[in-house]
Amino acid sequence: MIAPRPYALLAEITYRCPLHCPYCSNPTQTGNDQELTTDEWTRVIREAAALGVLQIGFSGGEPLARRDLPDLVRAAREANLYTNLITSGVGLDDERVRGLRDAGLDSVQLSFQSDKTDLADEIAGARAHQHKLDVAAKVRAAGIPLSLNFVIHRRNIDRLPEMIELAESLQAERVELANVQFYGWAFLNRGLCSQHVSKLFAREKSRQPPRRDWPARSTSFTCSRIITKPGPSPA
Amino acid sequence: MQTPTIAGSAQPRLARGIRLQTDSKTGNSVLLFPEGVLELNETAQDIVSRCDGRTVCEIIHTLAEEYDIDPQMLGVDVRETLADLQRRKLIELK
Repeated sequence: MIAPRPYALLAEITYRCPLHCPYCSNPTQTGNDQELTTDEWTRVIREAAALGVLQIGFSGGEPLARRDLPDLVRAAREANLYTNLITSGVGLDDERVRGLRDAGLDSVQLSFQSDKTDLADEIAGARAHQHKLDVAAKVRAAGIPLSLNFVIHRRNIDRLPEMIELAESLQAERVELANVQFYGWAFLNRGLCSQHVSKLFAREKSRQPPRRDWPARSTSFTCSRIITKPGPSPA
Repeated sequence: MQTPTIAGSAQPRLARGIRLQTDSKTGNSVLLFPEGVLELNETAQDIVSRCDGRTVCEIIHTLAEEYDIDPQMLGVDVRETLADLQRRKLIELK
């Protein structure tokens, strides 16, 4: 009998994130001091490669919140892994794109909330859509393969054709249409993600602590997270 | 099955962001791409490793010599494999 073998490691290197999407599957209770260090992740990456893992997805939270991301990408490439950055794009400027490319990043998967700026920003709880469009162009210019990711829910499902058109116009190699995973915030907000559209954006005050270590450019983003009493179970 | 129409002068290459490497666990070749791994068998590996600027004709003829098979017959298999990889967007034909 051949032991089952893992092919991919999804590395949630931080739960910090500048966006506040109601369908987020992050845990609702985390401490910023609980993240693994650069050395610990480097060890995990090597151990994963030894187990047969061939791919790593750097995810979160927003993985760009960690300044050591290029070091982790380099460690993964040294371990012969295919490296994919799963990101909102917030915090990605020309310099960081180049740094990641030079570290050996194989691919970028950029999340979008919608094709329409106002709806996308409303869902993300931040003015991020235009920045994402700029990031897509920067990734393209750096010659890194680009995938677009849309989490589909009732707020944006009727925009599906337009979202696919957006992926085409940004010259993405791939587009991923994802279901909401009802963990963490998404579970808390499950009544909103799956039902009761009109109440979706009735915002309440965030329980999350301020994110002091986030780069200055994102301080203009609104810091609210939708918290409601758990609604009825999704149908 | 109908033979895919791929010109003999076409030059197959790995598409952008696709990596061909050896899987250290099995010693076999694999194609790596965003969120995916394709394990290649020996013959697919022989074809893919030659997608480096050579034409389809050249690939068929070197393989026909190595395997000592009629190029006509081998050409069908090579074209089918290339068409499959192209459908998966793992190679590009120029």
